[in-house]
Amino acid sequence: MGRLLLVWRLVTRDLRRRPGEAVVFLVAVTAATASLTLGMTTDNAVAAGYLKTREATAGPDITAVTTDPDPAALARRIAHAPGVDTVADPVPGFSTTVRAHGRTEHTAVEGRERTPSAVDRPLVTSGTWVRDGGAVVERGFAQALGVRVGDRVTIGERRYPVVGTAISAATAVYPWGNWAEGPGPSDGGGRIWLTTDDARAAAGAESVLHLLNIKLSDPDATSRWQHTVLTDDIRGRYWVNTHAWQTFVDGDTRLLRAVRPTLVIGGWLLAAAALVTLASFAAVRAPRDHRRAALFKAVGATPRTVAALLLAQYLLLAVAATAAGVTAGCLTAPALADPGAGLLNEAGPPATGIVVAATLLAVLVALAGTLGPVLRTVRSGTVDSLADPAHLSPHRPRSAALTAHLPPALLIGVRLIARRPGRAVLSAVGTAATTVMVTGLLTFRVSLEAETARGTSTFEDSRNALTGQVMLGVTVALVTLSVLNAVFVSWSTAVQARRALAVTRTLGATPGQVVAALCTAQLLPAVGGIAVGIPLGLGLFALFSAVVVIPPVSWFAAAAPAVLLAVAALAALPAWLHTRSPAGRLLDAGPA
Amino acid sequence: MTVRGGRRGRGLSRRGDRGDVAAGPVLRAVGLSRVYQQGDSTVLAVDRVDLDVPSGQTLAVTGPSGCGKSTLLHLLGGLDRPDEGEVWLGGQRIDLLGERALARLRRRAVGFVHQDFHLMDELTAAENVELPALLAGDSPRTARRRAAALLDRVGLADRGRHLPSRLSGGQRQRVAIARALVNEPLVVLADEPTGNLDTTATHDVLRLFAELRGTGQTLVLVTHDERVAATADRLISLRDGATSEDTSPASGGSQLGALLGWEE
Repeated sequence: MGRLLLVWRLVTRDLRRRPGEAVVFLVAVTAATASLTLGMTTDNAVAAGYLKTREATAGPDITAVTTDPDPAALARRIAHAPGVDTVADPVPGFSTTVRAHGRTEHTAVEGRERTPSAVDRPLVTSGTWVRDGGAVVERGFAQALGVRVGDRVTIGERRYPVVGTAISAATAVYPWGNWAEGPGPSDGGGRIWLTTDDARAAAGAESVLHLLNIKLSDPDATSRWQHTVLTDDIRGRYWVNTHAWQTFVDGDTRLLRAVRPTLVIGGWLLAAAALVTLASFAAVRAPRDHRRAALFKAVGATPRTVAALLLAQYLLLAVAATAAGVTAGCLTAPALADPGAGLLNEAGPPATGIVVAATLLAVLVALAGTLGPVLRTVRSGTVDSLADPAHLSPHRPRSAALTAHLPPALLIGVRLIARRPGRAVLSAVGTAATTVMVTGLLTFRVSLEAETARGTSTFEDSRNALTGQVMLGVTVALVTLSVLNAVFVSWSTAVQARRALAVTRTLGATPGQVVAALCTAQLLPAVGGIAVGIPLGLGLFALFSAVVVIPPVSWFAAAAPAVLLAVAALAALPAWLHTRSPAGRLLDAGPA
Repeated sequence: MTVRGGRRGRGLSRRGDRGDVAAGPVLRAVGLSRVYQQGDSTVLAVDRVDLDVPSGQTLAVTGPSGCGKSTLLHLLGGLDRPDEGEVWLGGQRIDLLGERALARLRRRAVGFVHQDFHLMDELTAAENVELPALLAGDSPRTARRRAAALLDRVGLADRGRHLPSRLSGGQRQRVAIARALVNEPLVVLADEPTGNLDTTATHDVLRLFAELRGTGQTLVLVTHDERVAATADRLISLRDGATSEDTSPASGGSQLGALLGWEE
């Protein structure tokens, strides 16, 4: 109990004294866990959304589409077939095009009565249900067309006011909502409801199909029913096609399957960037933790207790970041899972597996970034740590000889890298992660232009739009984290090397040379990161994309110096702040 | 002065082992040596030091800078390990103990007072004093009660909620002394306890040590201040890591009194 109180005291006091550090930690780990949560919840979110919609709209287990002009007999035969619970009245429909706001899309137009049907009762989400002369547009389709209640749409040659939007579980969502197509390949498209009379009038010369919505006594036995019960005797002589409700879920997740590689790879890259942040975080705290550990040991804390006390803070922050990341992921998942809002999709509580995975990721990232410094601190001698908490840099005679003839700023910069080679590697990894994503985004843009010029289907358009959004989101998150990393790593380098830099200043190094040295210490690893990141980004994009067009070399030639310039500018800020303190004060300063 | 806040002794704490300790010296060093490697050369910081510190004695270790005083203190308190020799504390040989066992020993049997105070900046004075008690597994309530009693004893009852940054150097050192006493250690080891203090604060600290001596607390003071050293029961001087002089100034009490202005 007493030790728990001690841990709590130390954690809360530290957070209160240095909230900025905690925020950086939280942002980094939250980004990684949110990405992972998104990657894992979207499938569930689609399924959950579909099931909610199905329940709210009395969705069918099987929908049968037929070219039979009078499907009443077919409906009777199906109703008497074994395993069938309910068959709704046949719904007439036809496939046509709709125009709105200058955009033309394929759509199924369905004739409905104003009274609710036995199976498939679309849920009106805005406006009203069908009335004479008024159209109801499926919500996802309405969003894609950009129409609202009160707008007008042109179906065939007739114009209809939009009187409502609704959702239904009888088909997959836009762009797979167009069921009213006969035998042959489907163009896909949306779904619009008119009254039965209006639908027949609007059909004109178009061939009218019929939709039969069927409820089975066992909703999970759809496949068996399709293959064993729906025989040719029941089908009759007309074309009949059936869709089980499970295929709608599958259709709705097709988009997500296309963007999942972006999410998963983005999650890895974010985790790598978060690792860089945490390692820098631990490095900044190392002198302080070092001294704190020595104090603990002097008053009788065992090495295990010291490690527990130091790690408790990181783990507590990791748990908080997990909570934030999982919440953010769960709240975002419905929008990503159903970008057209064609389903009843509300954010739900995360599954246990997702919470476990996100916690594991956060703890792993936190431990990977902080365990090394903590263990070094725990193992260090109490007396030495109390006397001088500064980390002694190893003597490297070879690198000293190699760099001896460099200009002063470059010399100090290289020596700073040699002093902390691990951090230089981490810095390079962080830059590489961002470069991979930026390269992927550039390649995606160029490839998209080529794909569009070749001609794309509705599905490809939707997939590309969603992929573009996800890539942009992950890239923005990565760039944000990288900006944070550049500042943080530079700051931690300046903090740890403050005495050495103060000595160089007393020996005559100008503030400009010190700033240049710290920038050099950041730029050299960044060059390596960019050199690795570009081919890696191209390779990963090629691995998961059907169309790959490599961007012009000039783009990379412009992007690479721009990234380096940004790194230099971000690194210069903490370096410049460092040079504002008098050198004498820095020489006398205690642990940071 | 009386020792307040008496508690159940455990392990090598003073109360729990008074009987064992009475049988021999509280602290004993036999042929203690410590060598440091500095680049290609070796430095003999402590050179075959033999030492017995009886219970209740105040021992001052003096000598010029770099003579090995602090190293000897660290060896005696289990903060560092000797290259040769033995250290016995409360009848137990401690130089062979593992880091974990040493930590437990320090927790119960040794109280350290450092020149730089070494208080935790983010904890209040009272919380700093509670720290060793909480680490030793005492309940928060017990730790709080003991810290309050000790802060009262060192004259800082009204400063318990202050952070170290809001205390003067003398007050910080008094908090550090209270912290060193919270687990009622067998021995208090003080490394230049007045080294960073002005005259008034030095007097306050020495007065506290005098009170401790009155309660039978074993004290080892490392100091280069001859005035402070003269307040001890016994004085050893180190030169180049070895004992050069071991005396027992009969005037220890009167020197302290003169220093503190108690006697003319």
